[in-house]
Amino acid sequence: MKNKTKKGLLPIFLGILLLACAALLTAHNVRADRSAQESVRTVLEQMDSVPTTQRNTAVLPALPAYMQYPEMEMPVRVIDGREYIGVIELPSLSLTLPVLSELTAVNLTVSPCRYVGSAYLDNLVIAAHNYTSHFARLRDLAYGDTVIFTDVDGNVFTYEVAQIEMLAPTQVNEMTDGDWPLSLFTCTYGGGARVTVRCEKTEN
Amino acid sequence: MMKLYKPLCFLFCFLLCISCCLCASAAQIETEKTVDLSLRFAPHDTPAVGVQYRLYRIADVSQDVRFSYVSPYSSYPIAPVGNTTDQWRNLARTLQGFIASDGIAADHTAVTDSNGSFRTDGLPTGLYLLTGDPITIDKTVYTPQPFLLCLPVQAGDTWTYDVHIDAKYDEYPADTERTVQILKVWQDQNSPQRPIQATVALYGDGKLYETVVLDKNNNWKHTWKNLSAMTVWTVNEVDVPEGYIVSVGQEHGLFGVVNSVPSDDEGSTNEPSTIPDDEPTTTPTEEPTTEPDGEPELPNTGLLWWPVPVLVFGGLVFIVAGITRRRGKQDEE
Repeated sequence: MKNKTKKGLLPIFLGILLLACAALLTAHNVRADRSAQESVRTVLEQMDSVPTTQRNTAVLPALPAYMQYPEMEMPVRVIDGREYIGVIELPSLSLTLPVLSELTAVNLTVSPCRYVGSAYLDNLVIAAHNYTSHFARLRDLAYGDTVIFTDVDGNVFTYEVAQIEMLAPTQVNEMTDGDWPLSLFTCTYGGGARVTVRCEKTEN
Repeated sequence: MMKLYKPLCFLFCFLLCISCCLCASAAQIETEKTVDLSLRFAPHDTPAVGVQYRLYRIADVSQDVRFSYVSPYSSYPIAPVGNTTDQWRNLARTLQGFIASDGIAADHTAVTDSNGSFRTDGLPTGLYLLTGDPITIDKTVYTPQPFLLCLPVQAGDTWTYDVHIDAKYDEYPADTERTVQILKVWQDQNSPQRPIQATVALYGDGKLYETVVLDKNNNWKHTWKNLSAMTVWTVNEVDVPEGYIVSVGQEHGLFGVVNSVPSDDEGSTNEPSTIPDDEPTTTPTEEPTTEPDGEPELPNTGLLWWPVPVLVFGGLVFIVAGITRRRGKQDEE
């Protein structure tokens, strides 16, 4: 009798175990996604209105500092111990996200990060996780869609989507060596490639 | 014909050499001569009367226009005299800062007369820095821009030893207080030798106003507000880091203190310089400010989703297999 009742129990147990793992993984990912969404909301609240570019009291209008010295370091604003270089907006996706100055594994769980470059030198590359609250919908951008980056000094850089491509994880040079003023990327669903959006500058 | 060939060749070469010598001598500076300088400072054609000017002889100039800094300027961590208007303008600001910090006395001084002019005769040839004091005319403050001037002045293929120039100036409303901002800029390819902080000083009319420390915490910049528009404000870096040279630029109220690593070619004055014209040029660098860590792959920016359908499918397969197996056994029984 015992052998009869045990037949088939092992595969059922294994099947339940696998389903439980799937459920745990899904719960973990959903939790990470929601945590990232909450982080972004908190940071954006603290960023509030970015100060407008300070102008001196001289008669002649002053150029922003980055126009005179484009190689200057992008200024940062420290929020909750992390350094942010600005905010990126994707109006067609109804998305507004802060951008951290440095890309690390931990920082990526909080908000998009600068991978390399500077908005002042027209070679900025921003990476983010494919959370639904971050860059999951990056591939939904269309050619000509507007992308706006605002630095912490209030300088606004406006771009439009010019190219969407897939890069392999090993194509590091292809990601950074192009003449694109702004590039955004995130992993594909399976993690095997990087969805990369290239943007041309329209106006400052 | 063959008899004439050699004499003709000799005559041709002789004439060629003479013309080359004439051309070369026409472009060369007669360094033993002295220069007479007249300057007019008349904003909007209104003579600026009683304005003091200071002349500092910065460098010797050779016959073929090679500049060599004289003491004490030769000891400063600055770039050689460049060839563009921007480089000369920035060098003037940089030297103005060192002069203020070290209290260097002018080699010559002059005061403008009722025509807004002054004349100084018998100046040795060389590269000069000229600075002037501000003046208020009709509720507007006019401040002469510091500038470098090579004496003599080049006019086409010749050199003029009786020089007449008009001063350029900045203007501000007299009842407006000035804001001065300093920005530190590094041009060093993100060198690991870059210091974590830098100290800069603000001088007003040659007197130290304040010293501040710039670093990442203040985004390498500092702003002073409510400053007098009647004061000449200059900036200098205190203790330029080892291995770097400094250049100070100013555009309106922003002073950019740029530290760069001199290339192997810099520091040499062997090449003849070109006196820049008035056309401004800008040469922003194309180098990015940050570099990736050198990882062989792009960072992983994806959540681990792909195992989910695999696990679900596998789990269902096992469950169905298990149920099927149990039913089959029961049927047998």
